[in-house]
Amino acid sequence: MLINLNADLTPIKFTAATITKDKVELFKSAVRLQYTEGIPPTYATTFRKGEFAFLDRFHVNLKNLLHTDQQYEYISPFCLDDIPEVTTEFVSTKERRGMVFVSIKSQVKVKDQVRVYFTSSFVLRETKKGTE
Amino acid sequence: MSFELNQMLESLVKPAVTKEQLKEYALASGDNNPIHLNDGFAAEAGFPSVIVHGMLSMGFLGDCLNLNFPPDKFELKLFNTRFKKVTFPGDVITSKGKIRSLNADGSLTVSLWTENQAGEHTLEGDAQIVFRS
Repeated sequence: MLINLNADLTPIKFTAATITKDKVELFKSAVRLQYTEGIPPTYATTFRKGEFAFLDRFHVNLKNLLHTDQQYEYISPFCLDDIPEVTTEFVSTKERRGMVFVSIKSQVKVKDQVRVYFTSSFVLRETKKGTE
Repeated sequence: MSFELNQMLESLVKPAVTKEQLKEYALASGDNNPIHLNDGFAAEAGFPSVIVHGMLSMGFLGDCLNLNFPPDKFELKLFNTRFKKVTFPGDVITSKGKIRSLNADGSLTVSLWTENQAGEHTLEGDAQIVFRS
């Protein structure tokens, strides 16, 4: 079974860690950023805890999982000391040719103002050794 | 600053990705999927070694956008990527792009992609960028 389709689909809400200079510098260093000052737009990838929780609810074997698409819509930039509030929702699953395509979207707010929407899409496919 | 249709962006080459970098990225991003960190796990998933986080490569593209569109003059509104081919430690990733459209609202749409050292596209995507007023 690639995915548990009877999973709890209730949106997941959580408060992410406060955006600090140290956390931003850690991220920028890991990506080897050279031309990005301040908080990089892709810092939003640090707010994916809800996605991972959904994959857990779906009983996904991570050996079968590949990230296929990522979309960001930026509404306004993040600032240091922001405390992001993240809501992550299940969007869809679709089965095709023995694979399952999963889409999950999130919105990130700070003080009730949306800063970014993002959607992550994955494919679950059977692997020779990795299939349960 | 002016742009023309199909104008190529300045490309950006990053140093070869290392396994140590994947550990750093996992720590910084919270993406601790062992397929990026554990060779044995990756082998069971059918890969010869751990694979690079797709979002790390997307970060490279983001840096290329900032190189070409400095954040003090431009604002990124949309940024989309499709992960086309798996990247492995040791791969050297080059980010490239070109102006795809000059939009009526004054924004730009750029096509973006990353290539590995064999010239294969590993990511493809696009971004919409607006001038800061």
